[in-house]
Amino acid sequence: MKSRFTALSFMMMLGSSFASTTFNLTFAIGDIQGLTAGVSKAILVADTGGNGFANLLSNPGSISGFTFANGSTVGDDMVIWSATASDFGGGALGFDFGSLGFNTANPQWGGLLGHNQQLGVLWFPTGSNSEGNAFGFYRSDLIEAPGDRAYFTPLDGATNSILTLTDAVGGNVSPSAISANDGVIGVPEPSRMILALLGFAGLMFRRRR
Amino acid sequence: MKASISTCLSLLLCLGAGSLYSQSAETPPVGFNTVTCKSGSDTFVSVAFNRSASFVGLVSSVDGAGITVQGTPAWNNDDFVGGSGYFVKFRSGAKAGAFFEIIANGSSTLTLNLAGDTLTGAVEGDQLAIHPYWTLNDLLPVGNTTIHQSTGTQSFARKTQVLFPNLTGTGINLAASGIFYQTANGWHDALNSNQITNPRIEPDQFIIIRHRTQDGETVFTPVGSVDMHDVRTVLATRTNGATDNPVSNIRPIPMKLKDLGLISSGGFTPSLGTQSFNRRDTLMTFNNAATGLNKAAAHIYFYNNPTGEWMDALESNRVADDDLIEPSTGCIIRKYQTGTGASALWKHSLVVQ
Repeated sequence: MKSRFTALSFMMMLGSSFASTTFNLTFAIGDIQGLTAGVSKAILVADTGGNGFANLLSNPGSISGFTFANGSTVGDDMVIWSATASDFGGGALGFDFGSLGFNTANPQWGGLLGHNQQLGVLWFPTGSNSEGNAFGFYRSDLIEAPGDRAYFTPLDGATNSILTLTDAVGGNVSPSAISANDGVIGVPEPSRMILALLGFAGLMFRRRR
Repeated sequence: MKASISTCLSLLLCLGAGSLYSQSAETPPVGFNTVTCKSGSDTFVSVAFNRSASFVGLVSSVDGAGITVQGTPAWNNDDFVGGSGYFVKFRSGAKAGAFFEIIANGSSTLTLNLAGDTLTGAVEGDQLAIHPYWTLNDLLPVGNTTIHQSTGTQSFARKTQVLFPNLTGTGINLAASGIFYQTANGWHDALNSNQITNPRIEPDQFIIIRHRTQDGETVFTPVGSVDMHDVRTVLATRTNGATDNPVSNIRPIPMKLKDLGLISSGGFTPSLGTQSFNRRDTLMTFNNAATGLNKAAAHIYFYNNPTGEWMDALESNRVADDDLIEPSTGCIIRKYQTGTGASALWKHSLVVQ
């Protein structure tokens, strides 16, 4: 039974590795406070690890170190697209990625990109993803008008738009949902710091005894 | 989607005019169709009409990819090259229905892009016509009432998009190869840095008009000359799986499945039975009356060879010989894999009763 399952799994893995999916995606997000046109950068990340983005966000250190090139890895996820901040009109800044065609068989994806994977956008107001710099993150499971797709890679053969826009630029997303700073790269979140301090205190207490 | 009454009236006029046609004085019958483009939806449309012929004449000789025509048309060099381009369509002879892009011309000569085909069988006396291709600008110029014009080139400023199916890729469920939208400056290519463009539309292809949810319903009304001659479409295959061929009903009237000539021309491989594993080629059509994007096929037709009937796989293999393929819409022929990957030819002859 086990060997059967293994063989089946292997065949499924082969299938998923070699199945080619093509889709088109249009993506934009704005306006976001704290950006600088031509300087701030953003990346669209696919959950190629298949475990959502919780690991990534709870471990800000993993956000540093990637390049802004397509196919670069961020933790166990992958950069599929990048953009630089631009003026959406009237001084409202955001990231207009434009439109792009994807073929999952392209070697740059390493066989990891597929359809219906979660997407998330990370942005860096300073344009740098090195430690100490602020970052923002957003994704939604809801379709946000005027887009026609939530934050997932499109189905095979599909052409979709993901547009996260505040009312200032023609959408209905709350500006507070896309604030400039969701964290600082490389600096653990408070709960982690508290745990670390408790652990350190415990160690000290033990040594004294 | 149904052909409007005006379409039917136009067609009657067209059929009457067809008998008046002569080589020396081209008086092409003219017609139009109407297709409703719903908001928040993809609408599959095709033209089903040619632009007026720039030349109609006879073949004098054929040499490789070159043709010399009879008489002295006195063309300037490369009159038919550049811009949206032109194509030659054979109206009679062994290549009747075939069309080829013109890539050069002399005073009475044409050099064609055969795209893997040959002119074998074309001989002196065959009739041909030269037509300009349709382009988005010609079909839907700035100011038309079918397209909701975008206010800018940024992603969030786009309104109606026109998707071009992938005509050269192999495989199934291919994503659109082109995404275009229109601003006051013309058509933009969303997949190529939003540059201004004017893409060519092949005579037998469809395009998809995508309206946003917040934009209203519009009507697409292609107008042109009716092609009363044979029409031939090349259907690609591959050796390692099925491949999709985006095509259209090139006649401006609803055509019954059994009258499309798919089986008689050998362009469509019949299925060995009704079971899924016996299926071979399938014809997928899409419902323009339904709302939605990236639509799944509304019907998947196959030809059941043992009974000699068309059937709809999505409706318990209902016999569908008389199902109508609407004009000015689009469909996909999914060709079953072949041993050689050679293309098949679908030829349709219009029978006027």
